[in-house]
Amino acid sequence: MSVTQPADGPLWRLVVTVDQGLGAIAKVFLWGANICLFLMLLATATTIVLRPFGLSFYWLWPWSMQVFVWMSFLGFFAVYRMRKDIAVDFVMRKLGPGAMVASRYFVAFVVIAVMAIILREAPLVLGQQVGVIDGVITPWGWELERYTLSVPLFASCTLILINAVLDIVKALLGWPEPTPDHSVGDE
Amino acid sequence: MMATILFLGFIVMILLRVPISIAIGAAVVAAFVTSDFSGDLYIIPQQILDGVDKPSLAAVPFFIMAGNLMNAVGMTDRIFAFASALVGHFRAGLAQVNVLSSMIFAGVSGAAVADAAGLGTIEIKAMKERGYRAEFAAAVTVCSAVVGPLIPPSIGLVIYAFLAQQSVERMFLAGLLPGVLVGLSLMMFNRFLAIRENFPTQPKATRAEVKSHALDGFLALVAPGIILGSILFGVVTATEAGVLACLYSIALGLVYRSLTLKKFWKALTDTMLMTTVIMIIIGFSIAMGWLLAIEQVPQQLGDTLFSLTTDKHVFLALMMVFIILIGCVVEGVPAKLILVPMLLPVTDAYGIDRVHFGIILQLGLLIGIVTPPMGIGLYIMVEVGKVPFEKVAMACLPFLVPLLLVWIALTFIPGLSLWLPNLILGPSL
Repeated sequence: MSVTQPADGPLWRLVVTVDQGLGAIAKVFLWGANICLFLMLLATATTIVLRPFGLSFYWLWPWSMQVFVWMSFLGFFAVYRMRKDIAVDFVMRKLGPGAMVASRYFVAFVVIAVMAIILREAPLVLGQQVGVIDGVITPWGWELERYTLSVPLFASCTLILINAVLDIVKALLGWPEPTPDHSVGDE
Repeated sequence: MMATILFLGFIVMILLRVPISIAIGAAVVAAFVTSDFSGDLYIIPQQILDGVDKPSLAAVPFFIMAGNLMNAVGMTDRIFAFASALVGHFRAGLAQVNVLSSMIFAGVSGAAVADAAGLGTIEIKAMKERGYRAEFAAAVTVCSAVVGPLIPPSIGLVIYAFLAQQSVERMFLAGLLPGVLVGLSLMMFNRFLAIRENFPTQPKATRAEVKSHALDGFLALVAPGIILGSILFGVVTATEAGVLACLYSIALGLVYRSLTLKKFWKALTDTMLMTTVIMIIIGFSIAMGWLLAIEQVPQQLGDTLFSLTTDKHVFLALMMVFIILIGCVVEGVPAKLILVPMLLPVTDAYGIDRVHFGIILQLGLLIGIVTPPMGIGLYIMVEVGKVPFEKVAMACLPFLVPLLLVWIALTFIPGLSLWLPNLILGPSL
């Protein structure tokens, strides 16, 4: 099942543009998640180094947890886009090219279903996350609100959903299935 | 019914190429939709957030990063050279070096994949050059990586401690002796194979060479002692010990002038990607645990098992079969996240110590990394060793004998896991 579209057709160009856009956003998310991890390392290292001197900052640990959660949720889109999650393909491979194509569509539909359900519940969940997070204080003196923890999760879910829709369009256009991106770690 | 949907749904989706974190999410969604909570799907994202926002899991990225940094700064080469000088002249010398290197590296890294991917590259290359078959080299490498998540620090044991509400220190101590036993059993098995298949040997290193390599790798060799010692003496928490391991690795990189910004960024990226997968799986699993608990699945499972047998040893044997079957089709972390909430109330009812159960589960699921179809270690070997999947899987089969024997011993002799933590920390309450 594929729609033949000339390589320079309008749909083709749109897919290329969206794909490049998602690729760029994935890199931003990857950088963001990496910075969160680095900040977490830095905050905990500071705590260890300052301890013998009897010095401590009460906001270091709450901020560590904040960036830990952000790292996990920002990284979610990067992991999906760069195909760094574990997927078992030898069963489908053994069943032949038809099974590979069918499972490509199946995976995309499953991803869309799961992400859509999470996103459908986002307004309710965000609405429930009221109040500030103790210790996650900003340089301006106020503390971050609880809902800020889950914003990156919903952002990643939205992008994963768009990416899955794009995967279906790419499959229909006859694009080959992308392989895991092994270059990301070398950047 | 709900548990069936969860398990079968998850396994079917895995076999249909759905990525593991999405597969577990989809299974949870399916279970919710078919339960009495189909109108309360907001619980899923709520529980994901709750699962990820757990201070006790903050150690996970650092024990992954420590292993990645050790690889990045080239400490794996030094560990390999030292192990080679020490046991390289034995029969199946390089196979023994492979196991010993994994045991040393395990003292810094908390993940089997860091061991298999990092040390594996050096080990397989060296073994192939000395005339070992590529699939055998890959099999020894991946089977010896099983030691990693038993010898502390261990990400799997951190996650179990969180799920079973046990102290990380106790779990780490409980894993030490079993880890050494697994390593020794693999070395004995290597020797048996070496005699049977007449494997190549290499000349014995002189005392001066051993000394030179020991000095060369000294800073790497003392790292496990620093990490475990700092936790046990109460100097740092488990998370801080992970950070300490990272700082130590960075310091070594600076001392040996082998750590570049590019390598650091790569280690950071690899760590973040791996941690993210684990945390998202944990997030979905917490939602699943909530549903299992509310539907009283563990109680039903317990009642069913009690109706079959009240004998603890028969139950342990049944549980082993169950764990190995699950381990074959489900990767270690999600398997643990599915099994612990279900089995823990049952093992409590049978009077099995939670620390002991944690070690049984850990090794049982670790064996799953070398068994198809979900053997993550096998996939790494395909990439690192450039050996076909089927060949590595076949070459790993004989190594299941020592691994299973040690697992049986650990299951039926609780003292092997509990003696050390009870000796140092006192009996658990």
